[in-house]
Amino acid sequence: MRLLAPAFKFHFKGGRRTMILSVLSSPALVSGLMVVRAKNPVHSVLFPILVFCDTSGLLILLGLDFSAMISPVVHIGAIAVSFLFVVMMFNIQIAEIHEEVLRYLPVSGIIGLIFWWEMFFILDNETIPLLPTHRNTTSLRYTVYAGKVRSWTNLETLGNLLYTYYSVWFLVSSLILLVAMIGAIVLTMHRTTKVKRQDVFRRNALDSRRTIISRRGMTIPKKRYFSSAAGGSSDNYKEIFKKYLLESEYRDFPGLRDHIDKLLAFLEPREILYMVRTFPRDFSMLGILSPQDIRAIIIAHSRKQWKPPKKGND
Amino acid sequence: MFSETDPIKYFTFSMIISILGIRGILLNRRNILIMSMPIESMLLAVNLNFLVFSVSLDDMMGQSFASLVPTVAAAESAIGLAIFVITFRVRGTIAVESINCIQG
Repeated sequence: MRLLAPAFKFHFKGGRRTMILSVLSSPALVSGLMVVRAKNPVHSVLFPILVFCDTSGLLILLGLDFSAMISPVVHIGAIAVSFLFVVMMFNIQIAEIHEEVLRYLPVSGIIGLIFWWEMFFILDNETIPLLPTHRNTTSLRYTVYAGKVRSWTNLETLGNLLYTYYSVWFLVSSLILLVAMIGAIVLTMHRTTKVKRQDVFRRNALDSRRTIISRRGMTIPKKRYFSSAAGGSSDNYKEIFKKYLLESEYRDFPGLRDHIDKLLAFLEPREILYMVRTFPRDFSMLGILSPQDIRAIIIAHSRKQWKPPKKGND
Repeated sequence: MFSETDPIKYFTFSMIISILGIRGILLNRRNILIMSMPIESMLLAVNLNFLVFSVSLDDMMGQSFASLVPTVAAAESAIGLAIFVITFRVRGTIAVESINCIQG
């Protein structure tokens, strides 16, 4: 009993502020312990939220109202919510306490003891209230005279510095946030996420006359070809159609100009147009194929029966 | 401001939170998500430290810097979580034992 007597001499001095400080800091210390030892991963995200709330209360106690309001917004609203998103997104199983935690206890215990030992260099032994060596010394008092002359709010004092003299810090912090945002997006962007991109080479191979636009007149010249006012009749329909083809948007098709007489000899104009629109690159084949084959291909393709020829036949 | 409580109490609180954060990192080998939460707790403790001494020493430098520390904390947690997400996507597990397989 005599050894425990100094501990029982501890009496509560110092009024309401100390009581609020103790009430606020105790759950925070317990939560700091429980973060690691919680079985449910959601619980181990909720415990730091408790720490953040208690820190905000402590900041109010210090009189820093702005920091007390900003700190939950940043810490709880951004950081803890992000952690909760990740915990919910990945089905982290409820884990048992790992049996191998004692494996790391020697090294981490030594590091912890070093920190604990360093703590006693900084703290004065006499001002820690719960140790049995506590004596009746006065606490540090500091009279803030500036507050008696004209009192600024916390926001005003911060703004007085942060936007004028240290504005570079402010802008650099915005750059840090920009880098974080871009980094998070770039890191997690997946090819299978719905980002519509265009493969230019594939598009060019499929439909080159729409992909590559020649600069020399993109539209069909607006001329009347077939009306009777322009000199058209049912007799010279094929000549007029040939003139139309050579001036239309299909005029640069490879092979159209060379073979157009041959085509017009045995194909109807609408068949020529059909062939131009469906096989835009195959005019060089006209020198190889016979007319009956071309007509058969067009008819079969228009009836959706056409199959591409097997390799090895030609 | 400090007529009743002294800054030593706030400072011990902040230091204990910081040490508990270090302990959380060291003693936790379950998964890397739980390992990165005490880091945020440590950053909060350091922030509180800055603010306590700024009030105690009547100096605005502490508060100016303490408004930038949560910025860095949020940025670092965002990128850390992004790395965690792609690690989980690639490996399918979040065990920490074989985390050195992603080297190179």
